[in-house]
Formats: sequence, structure tokens, C-alpha cells
Amino acid sequence: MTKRVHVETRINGREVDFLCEPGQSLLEVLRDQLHLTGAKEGCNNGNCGACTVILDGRIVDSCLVLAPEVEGREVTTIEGLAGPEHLHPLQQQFLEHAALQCGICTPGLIMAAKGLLDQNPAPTEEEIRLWLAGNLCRCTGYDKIIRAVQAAAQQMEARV
Amino acid sequence: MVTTTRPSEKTTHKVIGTRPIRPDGVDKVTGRAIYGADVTLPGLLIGKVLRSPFAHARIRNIDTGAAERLPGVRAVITAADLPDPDKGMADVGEASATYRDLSHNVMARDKALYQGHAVAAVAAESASIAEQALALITVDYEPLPPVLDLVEAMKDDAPLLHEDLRTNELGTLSDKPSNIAAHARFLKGDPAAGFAEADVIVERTYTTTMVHQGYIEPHASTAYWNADGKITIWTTTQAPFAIRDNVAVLLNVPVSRVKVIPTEIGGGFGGKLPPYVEPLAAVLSRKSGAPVKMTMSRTEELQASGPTSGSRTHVKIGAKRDGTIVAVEASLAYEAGAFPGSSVRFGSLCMFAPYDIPNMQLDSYDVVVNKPKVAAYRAPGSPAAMFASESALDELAERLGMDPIELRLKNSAKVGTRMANNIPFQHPVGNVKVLEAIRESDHWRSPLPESTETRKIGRGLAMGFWPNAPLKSSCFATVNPDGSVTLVEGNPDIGGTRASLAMQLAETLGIPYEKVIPQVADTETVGYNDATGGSRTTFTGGIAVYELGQDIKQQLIERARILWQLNPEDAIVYEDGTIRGPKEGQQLSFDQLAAQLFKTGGPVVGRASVSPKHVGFAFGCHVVDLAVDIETGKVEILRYTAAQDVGKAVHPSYVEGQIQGGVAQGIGWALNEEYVYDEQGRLVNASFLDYRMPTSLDLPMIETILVEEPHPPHPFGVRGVGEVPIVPPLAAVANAISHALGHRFTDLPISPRRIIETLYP
Amino acid sequence: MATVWIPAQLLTECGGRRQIEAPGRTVGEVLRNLERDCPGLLARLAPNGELAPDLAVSVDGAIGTLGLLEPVEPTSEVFLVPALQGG
Ligand code: FES
Ligand code: FES
Repeated sequence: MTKRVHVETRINGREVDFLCEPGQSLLEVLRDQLHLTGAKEGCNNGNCGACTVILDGRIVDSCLVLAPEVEGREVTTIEGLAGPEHLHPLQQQFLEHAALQCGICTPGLIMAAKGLLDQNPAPTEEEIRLWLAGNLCRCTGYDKIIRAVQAAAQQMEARV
Repeated sequence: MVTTTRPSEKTTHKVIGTRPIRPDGVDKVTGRAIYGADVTLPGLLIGKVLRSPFAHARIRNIDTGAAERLPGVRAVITAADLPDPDKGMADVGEASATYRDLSHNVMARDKALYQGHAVAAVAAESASIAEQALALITVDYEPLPPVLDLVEAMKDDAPLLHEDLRTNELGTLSDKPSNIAAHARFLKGDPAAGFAEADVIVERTYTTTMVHQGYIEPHASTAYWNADGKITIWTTTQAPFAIRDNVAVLLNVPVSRVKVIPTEIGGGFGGKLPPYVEPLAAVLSRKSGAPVKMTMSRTEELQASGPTSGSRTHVKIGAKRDGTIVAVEASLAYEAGAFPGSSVRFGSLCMFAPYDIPNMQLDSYDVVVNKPKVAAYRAPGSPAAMFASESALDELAERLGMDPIELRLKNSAKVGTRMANNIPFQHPVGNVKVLEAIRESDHWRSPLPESTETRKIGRGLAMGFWPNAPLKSSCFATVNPDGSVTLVEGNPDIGGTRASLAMQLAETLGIPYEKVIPQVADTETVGYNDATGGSRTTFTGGIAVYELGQDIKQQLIERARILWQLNPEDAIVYEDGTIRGPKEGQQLSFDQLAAQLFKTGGPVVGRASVSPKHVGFAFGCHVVDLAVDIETGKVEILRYTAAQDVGKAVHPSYVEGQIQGGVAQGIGWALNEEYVYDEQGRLVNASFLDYRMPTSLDLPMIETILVEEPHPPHPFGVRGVGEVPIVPPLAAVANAISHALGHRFTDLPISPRRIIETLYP
Repeated sequence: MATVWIPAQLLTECGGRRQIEAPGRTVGEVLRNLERDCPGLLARLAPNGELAPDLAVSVDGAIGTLGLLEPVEPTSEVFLVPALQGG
């Protein structure tokens, strides 16, 4: 058996440590060991975005990140987005705009959209489409997703 | 996007037609919803499948000894561990299959029939041990020549997939084995006489390749075979009851021994109707004594789940100079994949359904090839067939110098028109209204942008038809003391049906939507329900919750009678959530009565089980503007408008979403998606990198026009909406490209490569 | 008498006739009466005494759920069609 690696990191604001095989992906560890199953596996090779999480402020496909790489870093997953009694504006607007049908792409899309709004609070439709092009959705045709992201941007602007 | 909801005749609905938040929404945006692969159990093992590298090979021997000896491996199975059922038809959605074929598809017996065909499976303590074990299994294959091309497969001297397969030739079994499983025909009137009257004849052959549903969540199932023989399966499926029934037959146990618990489902589109890993996980669990989870990788999905057929369709249309269509003939051949049962007959039934054509002969051929066994895919059979018919109609309009909408209006079917199977439309259909809606739309009235030297602009239009399938739904509901109602139904919620059913129940009972709490139950908690599919969940489920609502209302009236001490003949009415007695001011709200149920005889539970007899036929008409870059061959969708007769939009946002999603899939099918096989029958693009589905960058906003021609047999006039929107885009896009370039494209996908090769041969 | 529309694959059994009239109060009765005219038809449609599973009956355009027991009116049109589901 391969020797396991001990990894200390922060996930959703809390100190976390785990043991993993050196070749295991962050996605695998999140889902199978830490039971954070909000990140989904759609392809396991970086082509669908269902596994998107935020690593030190940047969006990544967690299926492409080796688990040991998150040592000492900060991971945010979909589970870390809502407060105990309120949703993040993106979550709220995805619901208001019916931007999910089956919902399997939703956690990844919301995390990707958060990554966008964190650095560009008022993106154009083109910018949103470009940014989200790595996140496949097979159900919606993207129309309502784009609108939800626009609405969330407005809601967040208004709050500031 | 301009969404125009045309008011239906009756606008008295309080809940139907509004856009509330779905009940399962918060769980799905916070990552808490449990999908197939999210299930975990104590002592869980991981199962993996060994798959054939050959498209066609005899399996001489399988040696699993080394794999079994690997530490951490808990079970290894081959087809020898599964019973071999006899023939008998399995319920796997409209792409039909016998139980024997289903079993042999789940695990190859003597022959591997496509690359990726399962030949063995292991359960181990971790995924990596399971992978290592697969590598230790040795299979002795005798490779056979693969049959990959429809035309080749149909030849007399083609290598055979099944030595015992004989053609069902118009109902009679042929005496020679063949790869043609069936030849069927729809015949109406006298086509030869019809063509004799034609002034213009358009005739062409169209092809499409195999494409995949592309749901983002791969198949994932967890099974536990308990010591008492009970099998519990958690699985992502559109059809929990059909999975239960199929697994019972495949494992030769009574249905009472199988319980299927549907998880949340990450898309299906027909691809999650048949069983794949469920029976394997169950048998691995029996052998190991532990629960076993199996998930398919994306490569396994593309190679070995159930895509839809590649097709070849020859169409001939005869018309008079004034545009009256006098006769049509078509011959359709669809790939069934490794086992018989494509949706070709439905394709032939749909292709001319929007039109009143006196003479038709539509022949269909179901052909086996060394590719995965096809499953249903959204309006199964119709998109490829209507790509052919609607392209040919566009060409006819051009030849006649007629507007494509006028040509279609001139020939449109109406109540009483007989379809190709000679069955007349019984109820109003929306084909004319969707054509008129497009004709009046801002999109159709807006001029096209100018083409440039290298960027050619075109507009295309096409219709789509799908009959929808009503099937069976059951449900029950309990009235709670706080006036809420817990609804228990049995259709996995693939796109907002908890909301659409809760809304219809709330409307029926005259209570607020938020008061209805819907649950999707397992196969031992609720009565039988057919699949979430066939555009039927909101339609038939809606009829079921309406009936259930009537049951509850009747019971509440009787409770009021007890409270008010009235006689059986005293009139009590239930109206808008209020129960009124005969005396002035004698009334109780739903909530008030709900609070008093326990002292008037106990809880009120309503129930319903329905099998509606009248489908609401679905019609759509789409128009697309696009630009073709003649230097790169890239097609850019500039504008897209879809009009659809939805009967009555229960939750308009989800109706629009169904249409937009169907359009996106249809555009992918038209432009980019295709299964590419090498000469050995190996799928060369078995990943999302190479199997190119539309991204957010490939599409514009998709405008929807919801036409509401109520379907009278439904209490709210609802029609199924989910499937038909994938049908028109194929021909609409092809017609637009043809207009942009002045050349008819008859083969999908119209990829950049195909465009360049056509323009610069 | 009900009118039975003969599907293309049964035209041989029925001597090429597209529509045949036959009496009966249920689809089963109608088909049994039709059998006299078209020997072999029943064996094709209902091999085990039950409607073949890939077939559905439609009486006057409605989808039958009772198989051979589906009621038929004297003016009814009876169709035998492939069973339909969907994706
Ligand atoms: S699962 Fe990571 S990108 Fe698809
Ligand atoms: S909502 Fe199903 S994949 Fe996006």
C-alpha cells in the first residue's frame, strides 16, 4: 500500500486535517473522506466544472488538484457559502430564476460564478458566458443561469 | 429573452402560472441534496467493471483467480453469476428490449458486442484496489470483425452480431439470420396514386450519428443484499419501479424482494431508464456480504451506457404547385446498437405528424451494430426523423417559392386528421398556433443582418412533434393539523416536478403552494409510478394530484358535516379552500378544519392512482439566425426563438427551462456532437473534451413563446412539455446553414470540418 | 360493428384489407370475431391470450389500459399500435 500523506488545511473557514494517498484528488478527499459531497464528479478530467471549488480565492476543478497540494491553503466549497439562516445572493438568485433543473451542475456553477463576482462585481453577459464556459450544464441551455448571475451581481452591488 | 405567455381562456388560477421557488431548491443550491454518487453506508465497498476493449469478440474464457486473491478484494463476478433470463419484454422506456438482451447487455455472456461491454466486475475495499483487481482479470477474446456502418450492417453478407436474430419483416420472421431486427411500416392512403398527382417532388437522404444524452451526473448505484434475501438499491434513475421490476427479473427474485430508493437525479433525458450497474452491484453485494457502490466514469458513460441511434433516412415528398402535399414516402434505418430496439418506429410516426397528408408510406428498419445498445433520448426517434422531413419541407418551400410557414400552414393537421398510424387527432392541437406565433414574433419580423465576404448569415425554421406518453401515476397525501399537506409521490424530480405537482395540488385544494410539502418516495412507500420521462410527470402526475385533491375535499366535507351535525342530504360545498354549510355564515377555512381532524375521526389521507387515456400532443416551431464563418467553418448562433404549445404552463419558468435546455441539446446535435469510431469500433472521443456539448459561450439567450392551447382531458389543460423542444433545432439549424451558404447539408453534425470540406472539396 | 384498422404488418393475414368491420363489446371479442375473417391474426396479436407487450390498443384514439378487455362501442375505431413511452 502506498504511504499516506498527512495534510493540514482550512476548509470553509475551519482547520481540517486528513490522510490521503499522494495521487488522490482533492475532489475524492472532499467527497469520500470529508463527506463534503456538494462538489460533484461529472468527468474527473477537468472538462465539466461540476467539481469547482475555490482555492485561495481562485476557482479550480477539484478533480484536477492533488489533495496534498492544499496543505496550508484555504479551500471554499459550496457547503461554505450560505450562513445558518441565509443563502448567498447567488444561491438565492439561482432559486428565484429557476437556474437549475436537475441541479447537479449547480454547486460548481455557483462556485465558479462566485469566483467571477469576487473579482468583477458587474460583469457583462459576454464576460459571464466566457467565465462559465468551463462549467457544463445539460439541462438549462444556460439562459436562466446567466440571468441569475446578473441578478446576484446586482443584489450584491446594492448591498455594498 | 422575451417571454410571452399568452393567457389561456381561464385565468382564474391562483397558483398555476405563478413562479414559486421549488421545494427542493435550497438543498440543491447548498450542496446538501443527495445524488447517486453521494450515498454512503457503513462498510461500503466500491465496485468496478471490466469492459471489453473489442467491439466484437467471442469470450472464450475469463480467469478471475488472481483478482480474487488480491488483498482487499471482496467479490468478483462474471455473467456466470447472473441468471440467464428468457425473452419477455422489459420496460426500459420507448427503446424496447427483451429481458435476455437486457441481461446480456448488463454483462456480456458469450460475446462482447461493443467496446466497453461489461465482462466482469469486482468489489473491493477501495477504488484503487478495485482498479488493480480489474487489471488482474484475464479474458481470452477471439476478436471478430466489427459491424459499424448501418448500410454495411444491413447487407446480406455482413458479419452477424446475433446468429439467432431474424428479421421481423412486417410481422413475419425471416428464415435467414440478419442484423436487421425489424422492418415495420405505417401505411395510409395510396402513395403511388398520390405521387402521380404531384407537380414537384423533393427527394433526399439524410444521416445523423450516434449522440449521447450527456447528463452531467454519471450512473451511480449502491446495493445491499441483506442476509434475509432483501435487496435494497439506492440509485439515480428516472424509473425506480421499472428498475425494481427489471432487477427482479435479471436476478430471478420476486419484486417483493427488491426495494429501490431513488436518489436525487442529475439529468437523464431517457438515459437513466434502463438498468446498468444496479444488478451488478446487487450480485457483488450478495457475494461479499457488504453494501457495494458503483459509479460509471464519463468514459464508461460514453462507451457503454445508452446513447441514441445514428440514422439514415430517405425522404420523398410530392406536392402540387400550390403547395398541397399529396404524398410522402420515407425509409428510416436506425442503429439499435448491440441489441434490437431502437426508437425508429416512433421516428417514422412523428416525422409528418404536424401535417394533413392523404398518402403516406413510412418504412422503418431497426438494425444492430457493434455499438452500445441505445436508450431513449428526449422525444426518442423524432429528432433524426424530423431533421429529414423538416429539411425536405424547407427544400420544397424553396422549390415552390413559398414561405416556409405558409407551406406548413397550408398542410397543417387539425382535429380529425389521421396520423401515419391512421389514428385521428381527437382534441385540439397547437401546430397552427405555434406557426402563427413564430410568424408574428419579433424575431421572424426582424431583418437578418447582412452577410459579409466571409461571414454568411442565414435563417432557418422547423417544426417538431412528439406524442408524449401518459402512463401511470399514484400518490397519496396527508392533511396535517397546521393546514399543510404532505404529498407523497413516486417520480424522481429531474427538473422541478416537486414544484409542478405541489402547485397543482395546491390549486385543486385552494390552499397556498407553500402549504404543500412534496416527497419523492421509494418503491415500497408509494403506489406504482411509471418513469419520469415521456413528458409525463407534470401531466399525469398532475391528473393524479387533482384526483387526490378531490378525494381530500370529499373527506373534509364529511368532517365538516360531523362538526356541524348536518344530515347526509345537507349541501356542503368546498370552494377555494373554504368549506361552507347550508346556514348563513357556516364556514371553515381549510386550516381551521385541518386543526380539528383528530376530533372528527382522525387524520385525512387522500389517494389517487391514474392511467390517463388521452395524451396531449406536443408541437413546437423554432426559428434560428446564425452566421457561418466560411474561413473556419464555425457556426455562431445569433438568435433563437422557440414557440411551443404547452397546453397550460404550470410553472412557466420551468417550462421555459425545458424548452431552452432542449434547444441547447438540439443545437449540439446539429453542430458538434457525434460518436466517432475508428475502424476497429473504438470510440475515439470518449471524453467531454472531445465529445463537444454546448457551453455557455456557444449559445445566445433562447427566446421562448409559450402558446397555451389547453388539452381538454387534463383538469388544467396541461400538455407534456419536456421532450418536443429537442426536435426542431436539428432541421432549423441545418436549414439556416443551407440558406446562408446556398448548399443543402444533409448529414449531421454540420461541424466546422464538414462545412470546410463541403465548401472546399 | 366496430372498425378495426389493420396495421401494415398484418395486412397479409387480412388479405390486404386496411379496415375490417367486426362485432364485439371488447377489443378481445372484436379480435376473436375478426379471427374468422383473418385466420392467424390472434396468434400474432395475443400469442399467450394477452396482448403482445410491445403493442397497445387504441379505441377511438384513446390509449387503452385494459388490453383485450378494453370496451368497444358499435361505432368505434380500433387501432393496434406500438406501445409508447418516452425519454
Ligand atoms: S469532475 Fe472535475 S471538471 Fe468534471
Ligand atoms: S441543471 Fe442539470 S446539468 Fe445543469
